[in-house]
Amino acid sequence: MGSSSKEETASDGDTASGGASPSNDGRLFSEGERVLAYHGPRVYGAKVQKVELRKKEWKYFVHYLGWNKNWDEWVSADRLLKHTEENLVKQKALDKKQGVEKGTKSGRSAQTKTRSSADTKADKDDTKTNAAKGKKRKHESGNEKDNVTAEKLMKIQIPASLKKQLTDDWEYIAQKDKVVKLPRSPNVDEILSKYLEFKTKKDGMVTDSVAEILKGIRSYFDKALPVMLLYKKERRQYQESIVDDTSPSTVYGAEHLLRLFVKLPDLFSYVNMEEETWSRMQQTLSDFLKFIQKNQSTFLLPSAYDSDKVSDGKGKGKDD
Amino acid sequence: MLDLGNMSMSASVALTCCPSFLPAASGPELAKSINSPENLAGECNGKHLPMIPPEEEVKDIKIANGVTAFTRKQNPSDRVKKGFVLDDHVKDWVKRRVASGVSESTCFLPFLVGAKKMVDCLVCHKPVYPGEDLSCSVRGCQGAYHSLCAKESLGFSKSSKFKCPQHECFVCKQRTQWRCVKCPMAAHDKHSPWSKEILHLKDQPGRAVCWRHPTDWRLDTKHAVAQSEIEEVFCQLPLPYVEEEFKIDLAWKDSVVKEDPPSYVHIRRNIYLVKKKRDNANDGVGCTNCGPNCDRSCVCRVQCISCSKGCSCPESCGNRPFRKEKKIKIVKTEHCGWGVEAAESINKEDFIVEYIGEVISDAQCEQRLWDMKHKGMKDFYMCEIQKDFTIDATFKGNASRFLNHSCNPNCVLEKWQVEGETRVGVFAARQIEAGEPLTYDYRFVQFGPEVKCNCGSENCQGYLGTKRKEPNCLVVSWGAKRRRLFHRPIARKPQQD
Repeated sequence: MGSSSKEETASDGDTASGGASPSNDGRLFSEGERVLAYHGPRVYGAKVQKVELRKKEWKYFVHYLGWNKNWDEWVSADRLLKHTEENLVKQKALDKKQGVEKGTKSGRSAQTKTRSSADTKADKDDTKTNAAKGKKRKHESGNEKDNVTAEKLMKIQIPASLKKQLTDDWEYIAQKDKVVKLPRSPNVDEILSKYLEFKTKKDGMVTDSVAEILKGIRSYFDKALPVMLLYKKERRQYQESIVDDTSPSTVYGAEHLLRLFVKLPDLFSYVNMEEETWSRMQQTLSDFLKFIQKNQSTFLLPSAYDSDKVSDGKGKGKDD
Repeated sequence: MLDLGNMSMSASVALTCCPSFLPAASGPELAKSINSPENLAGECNGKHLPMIPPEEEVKDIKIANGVTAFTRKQNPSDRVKKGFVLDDHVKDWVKRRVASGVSESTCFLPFLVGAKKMVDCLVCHKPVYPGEDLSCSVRGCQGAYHSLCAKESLGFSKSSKFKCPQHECFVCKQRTQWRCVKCPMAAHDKHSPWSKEILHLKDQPGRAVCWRHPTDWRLDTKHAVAQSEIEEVFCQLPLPYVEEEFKIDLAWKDSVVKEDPPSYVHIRRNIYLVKKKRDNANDGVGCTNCGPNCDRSCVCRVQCISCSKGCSCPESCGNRPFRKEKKIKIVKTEHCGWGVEAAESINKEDFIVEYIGEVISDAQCEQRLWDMKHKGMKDFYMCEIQKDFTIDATFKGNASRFLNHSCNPNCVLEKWQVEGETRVGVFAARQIEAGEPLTYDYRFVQFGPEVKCNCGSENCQGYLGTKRKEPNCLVVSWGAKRRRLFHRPIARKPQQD
């Protein structure tokens, strides 16, 4: 059985090498790359020895480092992970759990120790190789950037009048049981268009960064609105207003867009940005807030709020 | 709900104008309208308004008409503007972008055309633009992918129908138990390498966050490479796995701009909560040798004693400073909360205003300070004059409580005896012009956290209550040989209101 399986493996390899050479496109892992692979409940350090396109799907022949060649097998991309620090941490955590279980079986303890020591040696060799290749410097520089970014918090100064608007917004919804009447005019799309028009007149042309930032704001607003820009009492209104794939940016207005700018400074601190991109983003967002403040009388109206009529109906139902 | 429906109906009625009114009319009226087309609009307005008796409907029609008029006015100018300015610039921008190598499908501004919700590709987490999307062939599946991503990462070829990997377990290829909301992973719990790290979403049955994503949704893109593309930045902004309620900073409610100064009870004389020690005003002490108008050479003036009934000087005496106050105004300052500024020109050594409050003892003062600390109050308005004599303007006082601190002040506090009663006055230390803010040295005794000074003067000490670095040179202008009894203030009002 073992020998026959070996022969099959060899023949498959021959067929792959003899056939058309596989294209570089679509391959997640290359030959000779060090990876982490799932096997049962654990993750092992492994090395990709062959890459082949089988049944219209990329398969990788991996060797588990420190283990016998009998365990070598073809796996799909789903069972492989890149050899990164994050994945290594996961592997160690899982090893600890499994280590506790195996500790109870005294019969296999010697073998376990031997294998783990072999694995450790392989890890050390790999570390040396990385040092030789110069990856250490990249890693260190990456750390430095991460530290710098972590200390930063994008300071988007919200003008005092807009802060008052947000406070009033909270009072209307949380304390007076009112909601913003929908659809709102002007909506988020119209506000972004007006700002692009305002900026185009000022600069004489459409700037790349401004267009990209406005596009990003629109895209993120649509995703963020249902998960973190609504008060609890507004959720039913959202479910009634947004049906199918309607974009919230065509329904909601400046009241909810302003809440996004409350969240953005905290969220940007979790994105790794270059210095130039950081300052450009900060400048544009601050300018956008000033634009909203300048047009506050047209974008933000106290009359936009109205009592929730559905709740009134519900109340009547309860009375009956 | 009915009102909303009625609103839209009224709007549509107004938008279509006269023809929609006709079905409401009866046969003869219809014939009349047709017979006289030149007066159609007028007749409709005149006739049909009474036919709609409910006032709400009439109001709705009026509002709708207003909206219609506004829309008509707005449209032509909008078209002209956009035609000449924005559309051309956008096309020019698209050309430049395509010329620089960006694909035309990404040069698309969704907010200009009111596009539908942009969906992200589950593989690369970038938006899927029209024309490059690939839909799953399974009915009801809303997963979106790029054609390129499906080909590269999921091994899909164009010859067959696309079925995304979230419909079967990646180990046993059977119908899956849960699907990840962040990546194309789908599996059973028993087949998952880290089944304990899977976060099942309670509000979305069958959906989960698989082991490949951190528990804290903010750290999802923590290890990504530093980005220089703005589009990449927005793609990497983290999103919560479950719905969270929006909350604003509670401090903002307190820091909202207040139109009026904080409330206090305005009083015109000190209120004594301790036993009043009153000297005998008629014991014969008084100026005896001064002229018709008391001036700096007067004995009473030198001792900071106001002329009283015991003096023989006339009513025009210049040594009665507490009778008339200068005109001052309470204003909102940029850095120091509320302040006071002069509304008229003030000469040096002129009396400006009296510092008024509740006169309390040392024990009461300490009790009040601890009460304030317990309540979390941060503004102190107390002025210690002498033992068992502290003027507290926290609850009752006058405009003098708003005077701000300065390391280079233009006013001084002076203790005077008036009719046998101790009173504290604010006097000008130099010439003060109208509109100038009034300040004096708090000589702050710190009680609570350190308060930063924002007076802006050159010799600013940095914080209230810091000991003076330069010698405290006294400017003795009255009677060089006599030392004035300087008061020792305790816990003054900090400048950040």
